[in-house]
Amino acid sequence: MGWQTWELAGRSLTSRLLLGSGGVSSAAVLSECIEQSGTGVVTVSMRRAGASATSGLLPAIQESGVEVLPNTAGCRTAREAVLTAQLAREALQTDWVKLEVVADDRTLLPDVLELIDAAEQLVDDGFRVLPYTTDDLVVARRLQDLGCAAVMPLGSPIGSGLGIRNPHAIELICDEIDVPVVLDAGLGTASDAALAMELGCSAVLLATAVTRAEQPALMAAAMRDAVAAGHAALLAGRIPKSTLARASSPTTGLVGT
Amino acid sequence: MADTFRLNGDARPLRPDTTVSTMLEQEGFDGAWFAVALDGAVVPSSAWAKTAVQPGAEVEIVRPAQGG
Repeated sequence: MGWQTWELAGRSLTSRLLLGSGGVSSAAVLSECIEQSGTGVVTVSMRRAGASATSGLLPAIQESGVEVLPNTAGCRTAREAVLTAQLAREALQTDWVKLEVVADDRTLLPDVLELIDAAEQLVDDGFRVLPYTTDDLVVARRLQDLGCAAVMPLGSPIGSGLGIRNPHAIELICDEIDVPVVLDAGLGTASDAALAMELGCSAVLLATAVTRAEQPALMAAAMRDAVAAGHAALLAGRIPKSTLARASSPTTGLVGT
Repeated sequence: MADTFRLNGDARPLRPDTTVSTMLEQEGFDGAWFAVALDGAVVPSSAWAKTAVQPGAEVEIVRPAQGG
C-alpha cells in the first residue's frame, strides 16, 4: 500500500516521489516543496564554486531530514561524470549518484554509450548508481546487469513537460527489470506522475514540474497525491479495457420486461 | 614569469610551497560541502595539508547547487 516502505539503493523510503531542486527560486521555496511533496530524497547538481557563493540549499535540505542525491548534470563524457560523482561523494559524504551523461544541449538526451561506461566505472568504485537513461529496455537491462541500483528512464526530454511519450516502453521496462524503475524527466502535471506509477514504476523523480509551476508548493502536494494514487491503483488491479460497454446495473428485472 | 595555477579555469599566481590547504585559505574557502580536484583527481580533505599545488596545476573546487 502507499504507506509501506520500499528500498532504493540500500535505503528504506516511504515516499515514492523524489524531488529535484533544479529550477527552484529560493531555499525557502525548496523547503516548502519538500514538506508538501512528502519526499525523502532531493537531488542537487555539483558546480564550480566561488569562495563567497554559499547557498542556503544544503541547510534547507538537511533541515528537512531528507537524503541528498547528487547528480552529474551537464556532463558529456564518462570521464567528466566519474570525476563529478567522486567530487560529490567527497563534498556530501554519500555513495549515491544520479548519473547523467547527456549528448547535447538541445535535447539533453542521455548518451547511452558514455552512460554505460561511466556506470561501470562508478559501480566498480563502490558507488550506488542511479542512471538517467532512455526508455530503451535493452539499455536498462545493461545498466541493471552491470550493477546499477535502479534505472531511471525518461518520460520525455528534461524540463519539457511533455509527460510520458511512450507508455508501452516504460511498462516494458517495469515488467522486465528487477531493480527499481524510477521515471525521471519530462513530467508536467499530476496525471503524468499517476500514469508512471500505474505503468509499474517504483517511483517518480521530477523537478521543474514542481519548481517552475505557478505555485510550486501546491504542485508538490498534487504530485504527492498523484504518486500515491497511481501506486494504489496499480496494486488495486484495474479492470480490463473493453471496446464495448459492459453494464454495471443489473440487466434483468427491467421495467416493462 | 611568475608561476601560476588555474582555479576553476581562471589563472592565479602561485606562491611558493602552496598546498591545497593554504590555497583554500588564500582563496577564502572554509566550511563544508565543497570538494577539490587537482589535475583531474579528487583530493580527499585528509590529504589537503600534504598535497602540493604545482606550477600549471588545474584545480577544481565544486559545491552543490540546485539541480534536477
